[in-house]
Amino acid sequence: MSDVSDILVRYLVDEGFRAEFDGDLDGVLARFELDDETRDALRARDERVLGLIGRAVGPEDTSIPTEAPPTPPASRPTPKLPGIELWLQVVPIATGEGEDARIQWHVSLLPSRDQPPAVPSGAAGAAILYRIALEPHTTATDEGLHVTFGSTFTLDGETSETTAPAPTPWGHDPTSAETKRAADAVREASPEDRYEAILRLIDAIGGPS
Amino acid sequence: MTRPDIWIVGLGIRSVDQITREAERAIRHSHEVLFVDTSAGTREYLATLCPRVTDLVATSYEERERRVGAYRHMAARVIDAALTHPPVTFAMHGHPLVFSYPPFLIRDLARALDLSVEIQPGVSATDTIFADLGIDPSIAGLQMYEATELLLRRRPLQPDVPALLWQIGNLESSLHTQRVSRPERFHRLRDYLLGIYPAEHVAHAVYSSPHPLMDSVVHDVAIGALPDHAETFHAGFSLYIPAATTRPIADPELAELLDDPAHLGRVTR
Repeated sequence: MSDVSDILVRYLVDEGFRAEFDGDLDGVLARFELDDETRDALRARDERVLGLIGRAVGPEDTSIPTEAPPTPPASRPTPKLPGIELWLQVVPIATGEGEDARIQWHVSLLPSRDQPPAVPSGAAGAAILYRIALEPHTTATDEGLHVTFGSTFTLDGETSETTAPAPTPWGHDPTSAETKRAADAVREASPEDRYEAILRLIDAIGGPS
Repeated sequence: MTRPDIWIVGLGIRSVDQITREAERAIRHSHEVLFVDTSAGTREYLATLCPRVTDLVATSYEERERRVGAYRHMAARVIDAALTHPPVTFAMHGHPLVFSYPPFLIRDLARALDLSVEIQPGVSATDTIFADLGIDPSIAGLQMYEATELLLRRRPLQPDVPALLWQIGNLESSLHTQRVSRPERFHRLRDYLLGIYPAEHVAHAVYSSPHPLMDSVVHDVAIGALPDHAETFHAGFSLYIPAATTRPIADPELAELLDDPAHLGRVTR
């Protein structure tokens, strides 16, 4: 630890040193090997101390060993995928007569809301239209492109906010099926693989990317 | 005390000196404290409270990379530690929820994994700026925006209410850098503010002290001259803009009632 670092740290964690420093500044500074600029900065307590702090906490300071952490994955340009919108039409259909009378659902998956198929004959009620929206999130990894989906399922005419759980302030969804699958993967991951599994959980939960 | 799997605490702005008693208690009861703070002495101090201290700053930020990548790494490390040897503490500079994304991500990841979280308040830059500038936000109110967000959405500013713009040193970029800003970085902000304030209106760029051996820094800057101070504004600076006008009382009838004992009698029991 350098002399400057020693001063900055001891002033915070050693009350006796702090009292001595505040009571006899020049006497304390004389005990350390400091250049004139550093002495002036510590006397003035001005912005130059920020530079001393920067040097004190620099990578050369290894006074307390810490476990070597995994390095963060390097980010890279990530291609974006467009969202997908589908429409689900559901119509109750009456079939048969008398004791054989039945009502069943007629279900159609539509690529566009603008051209719904004609309501089948025997319709026993109005067609119900649902909007299915898939919002892809893409992340480039060493293994390739990793894609997860956020989804909403809403009755036509409603907004997704009225039917989906209220998002967290950052748009996370901790309860989606995708999140639950990713969370299970984290629980099942070995200690060596867990960090990467948590990153995939972060992708699944959504939010800023 | 009830022990969650993860404590999220703030270290204060002048860290160590501003850490709370309850945060110290949480760290003492943790098997690992993972921290984000670049102040000298923080790591050494935390080591007096907890046997395992992990500095997340050193391994998270990369030059010219998006800061959100660093936040994801921090959250993943904390969750990994909480699954391995709970309880752990995630300790952040300032207040853990003020201008900080990782605690929200950690909280929601923990929810997905059925881990319990306790969030404790800390001394934020809002608090230190009030002290550094000697201001009381109850006088004329206070409007606060992140500086880039202000420009992105062109949020309206009321010139009769003081404004606090955060992170002016990080203006117009989501990428991390330690490089010095050019004047051009502040042209858009200056031009936007000139639509609201006179060019000679003086604002205060403030950087609250991170260490007791350093005084807080305050630069008085005319709105029209903001770009001239580009080299000074590092990421820790905020801009406080005093009110430029006063708003007259719009409800004189209510003003009359404020000192009327009969009115107090009608609205209390």
